[in-house]
Amino acid sequence: MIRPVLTALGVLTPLAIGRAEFEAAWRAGECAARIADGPTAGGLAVDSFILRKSFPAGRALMRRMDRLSKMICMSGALARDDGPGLGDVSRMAIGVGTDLGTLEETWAFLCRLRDKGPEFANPNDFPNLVPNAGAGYLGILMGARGPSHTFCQHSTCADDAIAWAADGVLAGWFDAGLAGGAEELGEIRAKAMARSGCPITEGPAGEGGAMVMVESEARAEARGASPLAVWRGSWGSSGLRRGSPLKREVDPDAVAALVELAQRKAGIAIGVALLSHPGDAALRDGVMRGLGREVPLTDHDARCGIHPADGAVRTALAGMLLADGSLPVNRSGALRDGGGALLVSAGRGGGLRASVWTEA
Amino acid sequence: MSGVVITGFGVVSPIGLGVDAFSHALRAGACGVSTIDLFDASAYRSALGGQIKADVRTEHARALCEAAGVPMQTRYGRTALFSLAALGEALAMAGLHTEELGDGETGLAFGGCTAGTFESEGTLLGLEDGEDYWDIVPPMELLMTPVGTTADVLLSVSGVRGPVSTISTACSSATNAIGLGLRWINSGRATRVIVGGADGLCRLTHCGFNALRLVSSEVPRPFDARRNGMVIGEGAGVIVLEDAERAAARGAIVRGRLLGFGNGAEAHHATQPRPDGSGAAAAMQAALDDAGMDPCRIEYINAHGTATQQNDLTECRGAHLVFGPRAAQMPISSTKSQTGHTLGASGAVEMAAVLLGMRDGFLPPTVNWGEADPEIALDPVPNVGRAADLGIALSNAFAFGGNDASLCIAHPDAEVGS
Repeated sequence: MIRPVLTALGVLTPLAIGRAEFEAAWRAGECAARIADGPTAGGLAVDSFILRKSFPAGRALMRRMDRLSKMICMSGALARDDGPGLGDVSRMAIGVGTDLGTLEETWAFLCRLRDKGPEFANPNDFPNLVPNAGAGYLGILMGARGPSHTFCQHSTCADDAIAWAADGVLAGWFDAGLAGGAEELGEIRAKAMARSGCPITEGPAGEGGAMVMVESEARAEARGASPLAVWRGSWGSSGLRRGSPLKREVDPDAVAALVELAQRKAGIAIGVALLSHPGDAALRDGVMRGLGREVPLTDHDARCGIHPADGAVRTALAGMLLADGSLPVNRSGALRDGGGALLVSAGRGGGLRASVWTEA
Repeated sequence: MSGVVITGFGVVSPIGLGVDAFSHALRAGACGVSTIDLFDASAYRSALGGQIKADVRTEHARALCEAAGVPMQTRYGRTALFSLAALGEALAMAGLHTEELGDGETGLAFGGCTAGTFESEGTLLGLEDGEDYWDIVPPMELLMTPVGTTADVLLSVSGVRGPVSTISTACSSATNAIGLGLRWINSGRATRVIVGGADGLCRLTHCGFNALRLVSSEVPRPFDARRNGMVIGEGAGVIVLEDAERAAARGAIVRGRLLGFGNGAEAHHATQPRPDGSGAAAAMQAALDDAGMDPCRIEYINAHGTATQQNDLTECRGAHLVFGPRAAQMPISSTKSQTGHTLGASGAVEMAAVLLGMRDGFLPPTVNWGEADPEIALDPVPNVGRAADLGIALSNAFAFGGNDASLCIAHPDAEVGS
């Protein structure tokens, strides 16, 4: 029986970069303090990570990369360095979630097309505009030759990527998966959100991401990696409210049904919930009804900012909470009450995903 | 019968709207490449495209969509409209109505790259002096731009309540989405999955491939010694995958079987394939392994076949790595020679080409072919479809980021034991 386990975390958030730094900041009750100015006011931006000496790629590759790909590669490298490497990567998969991809760069490309004409389009820019550019660069960086998927279903994208990786390990499609997601924050995202009538009201807009290592328990043991959490499953559904196909309007009944199913199939009690939008009353209501009781919620939204791929950050946080029962769930100091961690993400369009991890 | 079966499929392409028109055009060797008039393409290296110039809301398409309960809404843009037409046809062929899809066991896995980009870029590029994009852009255009929105529209009209996912891996998007659907059924995540992909032409992709000098100003000539690049196309393909037992229980007609899926990363270069063809070979071999299929059983390959120098050469080398000397006689054709490269839709459009070849008894051709390349030893099925009883085939898709994928597909009556 294969048991997929979480063995390494690479975290890149406005709160902190790196697992140890993130955990320390979380334990200290810190909140990301750098508030961006201008059109992204209220948003939380990651630090100038690309200037860190530890950026994993050589100069030539780094020059070619867009900012989102750099976030993905940096997160992947942090995961690689969070333990005894990655082991044999010949059958390691890469799974990346991103909803908006390189929105800022795509806008710049189109503006240049408008202002200067097609003959001035930079051939180096276009390959970075496809959503799977980051996964491609990460594969090159890690030498991973296994399957590679990029998931783009709004706020479930990173959860989809991690669930796919865990499913793949369980089914033997590949030996290990480096999975997660990233999103960038910029002027265009902020303007688009405002103009489209979908302002982020549940918390500040954030950016960054995370990559986590999922592998079989046997593989982890063989290479000396310590499991942080055990995967109990992930379930997807769609809970669209009729008449709102393009907006994120959560149907609490659909959420409750999915969460009830997840808890029942996982066969464990849930001790903490990590929601894509903790400030959304319908989502909270659906989760608590599905669980049949109140559980503490993380407050990552206020401390790291919200973005569509933050399911990866929440998965990493779940790993930390499950590995260390003394780590507070939120700034109120609440602790996980011994149960597993439930992640629930609700995307616009109606996509829902619930994933359950438990202690190793 | 066990495994995963195909019970319906629909296609919208530059050479035919609907599977029957598509099949006829494939077999006849039609080429859907023409001068783009969707936008002004005169300033680009190439003004050619595989543009769908007809209104996809034909009487036939409307009838199929109505039978399946799919509204053909135009307010979501071209890519979504293509997808809705293909969905309606696929469901009608499968004998399904949207009212039957809300069981929680039906999922949706869709691929694509551009979604509503054509519409939103049109507003940006059409700005008058002094106009601010953010003052005038319709909110619907913005909402339809992220790639996941095509699946949103399909979800909203189909009533699907199971898992939903969008995969965007450039040119292999649809193939990977089809593979994900296969995985979901095989692992019990769903018993029926609507899969496929769609992409509409837009200036962003046309300009990007022009800038990379990967496009041709002539018709695409895959595997031909004179080949000098691809032509960007557009289209949609939707396929209904079902657990074989569930399909049998409802008396569905089986149109084909999806036996296996392979996907791998090349870990080599952002845009260039591994020159030795090992990436392409790994994906094909993985699909064969997944299907438990001996390579000698493969009768035909629907190639990625973009008509660029490097792609066609490495794909041929990959085929030789997998099939050995037999590859030189293997029919390997490129549907992109007829439709142009439909990018995120191509895997689904080309899977439909394989299924139609199986249904109607022919191998889809490589059109515009006239001069053999001594470095490319294969049978390109030149210019017109070739009569054949096609049993088992592969369909390839390779993409930026070194993302290679392949599907193993069988005729419903094919003996699939190795």
